[in-house]
Amino acid sequence: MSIDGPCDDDVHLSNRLLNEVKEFLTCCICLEILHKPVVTACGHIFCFWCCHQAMSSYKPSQCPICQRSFTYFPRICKLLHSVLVKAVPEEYSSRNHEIRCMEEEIKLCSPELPMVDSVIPSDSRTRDASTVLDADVLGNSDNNEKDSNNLQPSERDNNDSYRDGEASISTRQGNLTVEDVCCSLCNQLLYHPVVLNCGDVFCEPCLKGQSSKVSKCPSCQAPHSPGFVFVCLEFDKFLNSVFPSEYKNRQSQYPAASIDFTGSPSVEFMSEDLHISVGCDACGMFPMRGDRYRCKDCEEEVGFDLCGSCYSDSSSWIGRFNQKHQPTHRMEQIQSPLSQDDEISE
Amino acid sequence: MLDVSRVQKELVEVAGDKVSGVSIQLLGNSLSHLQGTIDGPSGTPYEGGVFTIDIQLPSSYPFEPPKMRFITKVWHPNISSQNGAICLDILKDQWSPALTLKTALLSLQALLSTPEPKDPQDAVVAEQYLKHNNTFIATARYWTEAFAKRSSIGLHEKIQKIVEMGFSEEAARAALQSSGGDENAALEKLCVG
Ligand SMILES: [Zn+2]
Ligand SMILES: [Zn+2]
Ligand SMILES: [Zn+2]
Ligand SMILES: [Zn+2]
Ligand SMILES: [Zn+2]
Ligand SMILES: [Zn+2]
Repeated sequence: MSIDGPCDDDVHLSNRLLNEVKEFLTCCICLEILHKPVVTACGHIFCFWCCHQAMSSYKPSQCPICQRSFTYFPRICKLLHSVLVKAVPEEYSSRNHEIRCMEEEIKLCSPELPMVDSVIPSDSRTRDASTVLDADVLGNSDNNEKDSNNLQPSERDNNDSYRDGEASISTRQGNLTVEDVCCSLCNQLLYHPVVLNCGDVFCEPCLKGQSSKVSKCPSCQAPHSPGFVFVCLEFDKFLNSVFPSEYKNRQSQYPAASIDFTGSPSVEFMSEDLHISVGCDACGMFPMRGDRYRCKDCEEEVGFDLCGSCYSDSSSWIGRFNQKHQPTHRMEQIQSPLSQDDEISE
Repeated sequence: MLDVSRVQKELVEVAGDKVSGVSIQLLGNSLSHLQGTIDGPSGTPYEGGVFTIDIQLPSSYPFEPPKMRFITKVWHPNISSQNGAICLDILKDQWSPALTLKTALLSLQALLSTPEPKDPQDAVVAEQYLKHNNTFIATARYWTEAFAKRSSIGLHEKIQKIVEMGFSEEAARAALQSSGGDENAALEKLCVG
């Protein structure tokens, strides 16, 4: 690594990251870099709006890539979002600008998320994997002496925003560290990542340690339907390609891990009490079946709705389209128009 | 509102691909009406032919499938010998927004290689395919020769022929262009509209 050439390294690094993003984190619907990515239970990634538009308003939706059925609109994967913010800040913010203009036209908003990479003060959690991705890691392969369980911070000679022992998230453009892509269960680089409907990400072996059925998020406790989740392969390839030596270390911890794609969902879909074009703002069920409660106080045109079980759960849920819903708002039950007569209006 | 940026990306990608034997052309200023061509697959009665396909993009594309129709006359169980309508699942309920115009054209190419006579668009052709396969192959080859060959006679001659039938040169040229150089299709177009 050259001492007097940090700028070249920066350019090299951000080009490299842009290529990785273009290769692995592109949406197959709009053919652009993913924007506010959502990951379906089958492990496929789409932009928030692309997924929303691809879903059926009156029957189970089919994954555009693998054709598996799904009936829940996943929440944005915040981890993937922040990966994009850090890896390709310029491209991502111009994407965001385009989407903003489109949202103004359709008068609907996607959830607001931070669009700039800011210094996050070091929190109480200390992670031992704080290897900083730099030209050293990307370019040369002479850093193979790392202990598989205890990754040492790599030496950085040209970046004062990095100080040993502090949070290693830097404001530098195009900077991505292993910490940004860690599993909250094992505190290590995500390996075979799976994304639940709540948008939280875990290593498949960490999540499925006990059983192969997943019904709840271990982190936020949100229910995960329909009970299965597959590895997000494109994200896995991205991690392998961007952090090759760390990925190899992780791989060696699971010598027998093969990716499990069995247990395709049997989506039960009762069309009685169907609420066409209405979704549950909490669990994401879309279209909504069964009891439906609508907020009387939310003023947004899109409204705020909860399914029966989310309503009785009484947590203060955050809407899917940036609604300003409050727990004090009054809710009323809405009958499905289909339960009275059989007219289907699209 | 058509996703213009996606369609443009698709066109650029197809233009850069010289090996697949498919192409897409713009017809005018609008991205919602395009024209594709596919090379007839080798080892089939369609070998050596170039088939022109009319492509209409609904405003909800790619969430709705593109509307595709053969302009070049073709003898095939899943393609109407009358109007070029195509019976192919991915152009109907099996469409997915992850598919592209290129993948759709490649699927049409694959359809030319492997007809599905059990799900026919043209019952006459399908019956012939199943009961008199040799006749089918001969007919399909003849149609390829007659309609899908990049003409041995030049464009000028074709225009002349059509002009002799009482149409203006300008109209003849436009009709030939929009029917991929197929003079019969061009004539049909002129007579209808
Ligand atoms: Zn997209
Ligand atoms: Zn899928
Ligand atoms: Zn883990
Ligand atoms: Zn969660
Ligand atoms: Zn719910
Ligand atoms: Zn409300």
